[in-house]
Amino acid sequence: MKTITHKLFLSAAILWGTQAQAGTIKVAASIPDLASIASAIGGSRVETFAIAKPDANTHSVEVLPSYMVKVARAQVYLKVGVSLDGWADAIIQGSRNSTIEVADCSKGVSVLEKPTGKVDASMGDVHPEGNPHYWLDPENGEFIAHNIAQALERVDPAGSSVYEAGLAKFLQDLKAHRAQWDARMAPLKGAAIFTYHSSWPYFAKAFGLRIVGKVEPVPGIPTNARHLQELLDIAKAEHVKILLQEPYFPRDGGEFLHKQASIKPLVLAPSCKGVGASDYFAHFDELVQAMVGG
Amino acid sequence: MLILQLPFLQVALVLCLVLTGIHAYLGYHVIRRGVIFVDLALAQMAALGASVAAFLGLHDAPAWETWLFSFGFALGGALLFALFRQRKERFPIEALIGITYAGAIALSMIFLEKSATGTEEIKEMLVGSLYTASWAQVGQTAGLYAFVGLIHWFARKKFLLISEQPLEAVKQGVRVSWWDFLFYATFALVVTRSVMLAGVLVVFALLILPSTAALLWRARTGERIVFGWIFGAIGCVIGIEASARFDWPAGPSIILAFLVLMLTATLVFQRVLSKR
Repeated sequence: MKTITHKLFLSAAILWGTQAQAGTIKVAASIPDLASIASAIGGSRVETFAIAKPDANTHSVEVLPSYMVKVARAQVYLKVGVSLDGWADAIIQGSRNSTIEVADCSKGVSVLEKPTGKVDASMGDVHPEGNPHYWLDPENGEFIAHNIAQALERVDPAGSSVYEAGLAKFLQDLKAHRAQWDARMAPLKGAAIFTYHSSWPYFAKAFGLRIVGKVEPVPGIPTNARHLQELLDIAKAEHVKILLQEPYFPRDGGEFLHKQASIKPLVLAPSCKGVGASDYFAHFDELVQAMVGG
Repeated sequence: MLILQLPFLQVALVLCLVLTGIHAYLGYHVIRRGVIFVDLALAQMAALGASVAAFLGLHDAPAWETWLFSFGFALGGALLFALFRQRKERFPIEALIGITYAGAIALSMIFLEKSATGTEEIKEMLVGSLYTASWAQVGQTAGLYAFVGLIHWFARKKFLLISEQPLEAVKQGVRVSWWDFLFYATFALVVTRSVMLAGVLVVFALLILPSTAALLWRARTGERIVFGWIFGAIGCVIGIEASARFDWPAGPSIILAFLVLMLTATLVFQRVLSKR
């Protein structure tokens, strides 16, 4: 009963807002990573919220009424773009918020795995615009931050000095963190790894890892015995020790590789856990920690 | 009532009522015919059509071309069900529906594996969400269903006879295959649209639950259909209101409302009956 009244209270709060929140810029984002960077830039001037849950597959999302209400009340919407979050358009349209500023955070990013020429049928479920998991390269965090700061300044010009300062601080913090991550990841430079889905090419590029195989034979298709056998051969030749596994995909392929070739499956979400200012950094901390083993 | 305050809930409710209008009625036919899973099979055939379109690289073609493929394949399913009805004594039509369902999924998985793009869209075909619909979509859907409803109004005697007393229909010399094809074709037209908007789960529930309740508590055909509409409409209102209050996804919330309604109605009707 307590939870029900709690939830009733929640929906009431969502509906009418509270006086304390009245002055803030409300920022909705498709994934927590974008919301976290917005929190870092906007500080107490913004109130952020993310639609996709950190552990959920961002390729599809179950629409809850609270998302619609929050997007309806938001001034800014942060999209991942690169055809990852097509559902965002449906939610924005459904919320009937005609004044919302929609920012595509991928602007300026050099997208990896962009198919050149005609997309071939044998490539599986590729994104025609390229791989959308670009936030996993700290360098792209800079582009994201610039895009978000611009969007915030457009809807709230009065706060532009706050956003400029927030942006500068974020970029500085990012640089400092980056140096730490690089130092810790240095022993792994050039190491060959496996991933389950193709969520990790940006992360690999950032830290000099080589992705030499994926458990999925082609994106979106479950693995099979022959493909696993091929992976075992590659693992032997390349001394693969690590498999990066997204939490929302089946684990049996990873367990097989673990048993057969003692490859360590690391179950890690491609998205950060929260929308707070430090969560984007904390996510990399967690990834690095898991990679170097601790 | 949150429904009265939030526009996206109003769109969802009106859409839900439009869907109830046609599905509670078609559900009555489906249950009487014993072809409960036919909607899943036809929806999957439509998805197969879209997969073939993706395989042929029609991704960038206008949406109606993909739709034509979807509807064409669903029509193929309709033809299959109409033709094989006669051989009911050999094997039950439910088995054919199951085979169609499994075959369509298997084929579309293979086509999708060989297609470069469009996979996401086809997955979305089967998991529509009531909350992202627009008034324009609701209007188009209502128009389409009105057209189908009109066909059913003119063919009501034949359709009901075949659904309720198939042997009698054959005895009277009705061309059952032809009427069956028309029935399943209109059915395909309805579900390919509704599944895209509301998802397989909601469509299935709208089809089965109101009409089952009607069969339990009403005896005459006309009364049963009206009962199904009322039951469905109440379920939609309660389901969407509950979804908004507790922040549940729309589909499961509506189905839960139907189940609660059904349970309550059972208790009430039992009491009334036992007092007699």
